[in-house]
Amino acid sequence: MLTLFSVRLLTNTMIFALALYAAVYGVTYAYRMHYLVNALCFWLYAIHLTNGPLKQWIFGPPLMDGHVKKRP
Amino acid sequence: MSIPLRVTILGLLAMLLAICVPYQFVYTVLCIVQIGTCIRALKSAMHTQSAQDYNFYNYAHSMLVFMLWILPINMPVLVVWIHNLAVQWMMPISSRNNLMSVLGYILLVEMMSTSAMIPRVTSRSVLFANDFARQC
Repeated sequence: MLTLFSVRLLTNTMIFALALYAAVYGVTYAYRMHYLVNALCFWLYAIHLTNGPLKQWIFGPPLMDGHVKKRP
Repeated sequence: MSIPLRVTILGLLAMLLAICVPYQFVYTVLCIVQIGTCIRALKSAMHTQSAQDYNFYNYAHSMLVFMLWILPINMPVLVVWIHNLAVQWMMPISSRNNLMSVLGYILLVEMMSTSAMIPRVTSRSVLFANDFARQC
């Protein structure tokens, strides 16, 4: 199951890795950048889907409809 | 746009891509669509002056900048293809007709064209962490 931390970490890692790749290999292996950004777009689309019907499948059912039970 | 219409347009684009059009052409079309999305998002943000609309505009604008930087990589192939069409030199199906090379862009641009902002990811672990922090 995904956590907020892991999703943010993966997204930031992908973007920074892309920036690093562009700086070092952006001219020599330019075509590969197209496919790397394509992969990043797939990931962002997957995050978009987490707000839709796949939300419960990925993150599990919500705890008590989002309310936190008060302790006595 | 309704969902069946969007699915129809996407299916038509995929079919054209598989048969005759190189993915670079589809990518150029997606860049134009993204420019339209950015313009609509900016108009909406300037009209409502809400933080949410400005957030969506900044997100759309960031993705447009991404795509515009990748565009020069794809332009030479597109120029060659248009030249081949002009001299009526029909090439057989080649590796340029690859749906997977541009599917991520298609899905994301299509999602953003519906003005859907990328959601803030929440999870049970976040709720658990909040509870734990409150007790400490």
